[in-house]
Amino acid sequence: MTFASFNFLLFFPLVVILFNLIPQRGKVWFLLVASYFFYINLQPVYALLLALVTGSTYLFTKGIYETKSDIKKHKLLIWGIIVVILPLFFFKYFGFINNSIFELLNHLGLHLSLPKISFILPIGISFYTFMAIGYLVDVYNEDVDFEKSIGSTGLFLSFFPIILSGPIERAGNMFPQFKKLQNSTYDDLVSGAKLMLWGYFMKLCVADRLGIYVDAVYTNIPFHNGTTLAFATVLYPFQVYADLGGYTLIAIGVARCLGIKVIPNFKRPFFATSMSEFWRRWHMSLIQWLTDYIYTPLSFNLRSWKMWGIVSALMLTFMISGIWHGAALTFIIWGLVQGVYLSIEAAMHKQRTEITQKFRLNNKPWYIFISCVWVFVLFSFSQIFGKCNNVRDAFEVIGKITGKHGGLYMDKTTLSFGLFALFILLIKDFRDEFFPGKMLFFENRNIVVRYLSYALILILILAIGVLDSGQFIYFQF
Amino acid sequence: MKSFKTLITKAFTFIILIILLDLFAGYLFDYLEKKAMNNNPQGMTAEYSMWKVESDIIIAGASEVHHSLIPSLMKEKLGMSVYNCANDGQSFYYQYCMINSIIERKKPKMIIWSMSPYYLTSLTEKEKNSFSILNPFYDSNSYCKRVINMKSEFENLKMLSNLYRYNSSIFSLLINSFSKTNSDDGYLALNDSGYKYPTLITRVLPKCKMDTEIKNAFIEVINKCKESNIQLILIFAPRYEIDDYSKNDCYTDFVQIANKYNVPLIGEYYSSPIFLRDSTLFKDHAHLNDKGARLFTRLLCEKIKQISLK
Repeated sequence: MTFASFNFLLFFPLVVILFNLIPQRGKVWFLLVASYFFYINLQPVYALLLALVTGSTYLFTKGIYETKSDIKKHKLLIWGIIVVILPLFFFKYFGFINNSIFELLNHLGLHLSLPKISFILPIGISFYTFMAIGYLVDVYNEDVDFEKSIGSTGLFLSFFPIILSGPIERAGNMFPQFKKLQNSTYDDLVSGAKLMLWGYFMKLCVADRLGIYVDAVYTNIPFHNGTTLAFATVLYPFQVYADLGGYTLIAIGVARCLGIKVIPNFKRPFFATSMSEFWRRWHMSLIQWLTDYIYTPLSFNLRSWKMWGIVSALMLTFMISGIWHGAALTFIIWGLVQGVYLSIEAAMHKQRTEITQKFRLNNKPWYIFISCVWVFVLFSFSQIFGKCNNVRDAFEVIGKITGKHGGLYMDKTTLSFGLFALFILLIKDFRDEFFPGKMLFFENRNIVVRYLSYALILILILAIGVLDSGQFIYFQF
Repeated sequence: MKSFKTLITKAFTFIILIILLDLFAGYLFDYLEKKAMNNNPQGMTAEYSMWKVESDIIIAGASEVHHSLIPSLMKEKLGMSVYNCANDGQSFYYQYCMINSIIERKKPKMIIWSMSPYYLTSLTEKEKNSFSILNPFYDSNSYCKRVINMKSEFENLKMLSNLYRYNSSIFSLLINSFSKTNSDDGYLALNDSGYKYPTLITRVLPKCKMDTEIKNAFIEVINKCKESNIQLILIFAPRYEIDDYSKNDCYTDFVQIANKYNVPLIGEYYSSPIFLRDSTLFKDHAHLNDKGARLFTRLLCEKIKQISLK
């Protein structure tokens, strides 16, 4: 069962109805059962793993909270992180490291055959592992209190709207809400439903439609010319945005219908005028997590290196971000490319600020437009490594884009639907970015406009959405 | 409590609005579908095949024959009207529905069915998703209904929505409603220049097992053709590759079924030297271009003549 499946359309209203019928003290346990039911429906065996991570997190946070000695606390934190991260390492990175060692030994003339073990990656493991680590560190830093109820800890790590693809939530945001769970209000239900509707539009009409074209091109790189590959490369960031952004909105909407407010994940990233701003708008929950638990401590420890300290911290943080995305060299390069972009930007920050202030560029539409396009081009380029299965393919794509051009591969139906839906999405983002509160549709005070807007989006989903795909890109992470 | 009542009232109003719009969309799509089918059968292969085709010879299959058998040329050689009902990307069950519908409506003299033994293996999710092309026929065609219901237990609920039924088809309905093309009775030529011709590859086809349900449905079509006195001919279209079938049970089973039910199987052009020695006959490994299609059509007609004379 995923958000895009028909089963979910039956499961979700049932959960909302039962949630509102159950007395307050049973609500956390009810949501915990519903979340495990949701997860078991996808990967029954791996629900045990989730329970194991939950149990470990509970015990280690309890230990950290109750121990008085700082040294012991620190040891418990380290062991807690190791225990929680072990399944992620084993399922996600064992094969990659094993193969890399094997190839290295082979290269050195040592033909040793190591055991090959391959597993299906437990869905959502990267997300709930990061949430668990964040919680451990927060308790250690005394930013949040230890949660005595194992039910709440279990729900925090398994909460069904966010377990599969985030947002990567924080204990500090979720536990206080779990303590005060009430029946859903009218506003909760309406706001949640609106977010879900727009999320489904992004996912089914934009992401899945563009995905048909992008996948058709990227799975047959040798057969396509540079023009087609460049076009697919331009479309891919939009696909990912609509896919994870759409998923996040559905997740936030579902949680909102249950009276729980989940942190946002995207803020119109394609209107960012610099890479650093882009990363404050794209996959915000992951970047905030990396900033809080990796970048900030690192840059603090390396502050004596000055600019090189910042550069090192950026490179390392984004390399970890790449590794988090996948156990492959392509993702490591992807992360390093982001690190290079941000390092260059950090090094030139002072000069750029002086120039923009001197000529008052920040208010000039042409400057904003060029900056947005430039950021988009840089990000699209880096996404070639995020999309390709291996480095050789990525360089083949880059080689063709820079050299071998020809006629554009056309899939009229896919492109016409996909680009039409993308146009609607970008217009909405443009309105929200530059004219907030103006030209409202979902929030219009006139009920006719409001209802017609809902109806139009629903009709578009039914008429041009890809209704049978059901997969989300970030499930693989 | 008041807000709860408001919510229910508003939700109810919204649902009514959606139902009305969906009904309207249904009428609109029905109208456009019929208009498009009359205007441009070439662009509405599924609808035209299910509802209207009346030729003596019917060609069934997927893209490998959609682009490689030329009805006008066949008519010239065989003296009978021919329509190419093949549809790109569609595998066994689409063809099963289409052939059964045609037989029930008007019995052709001959059906030429391009098959791959792989069509008879278990359905993949992708194949199940491709059944959505049959959605518009859900209520009017029992075969289509049966096949669509194989996708999931909720298909009958989904089919209550007209918009769902016609999902993704609005563009082609509009285009075909307001345009006319010079149809060559279903055949769609692939140009024979402007791209790189394929290079010859060798494949050892992996093991596979026939799905019992699909195999039974296949035999059901064979029997129906026999009962209706329709000459069924199975063919394998040419590919630009050398395939080793020795480890492939599906192929052996397939040939056995054809022999058992006495259905002629023209498979010699599949990896034939006639085609393998000239890559300029192909658009890619799996599809002939127009030049290749003309050669294949001529050769196939000769074979069909021999079979008819027996």
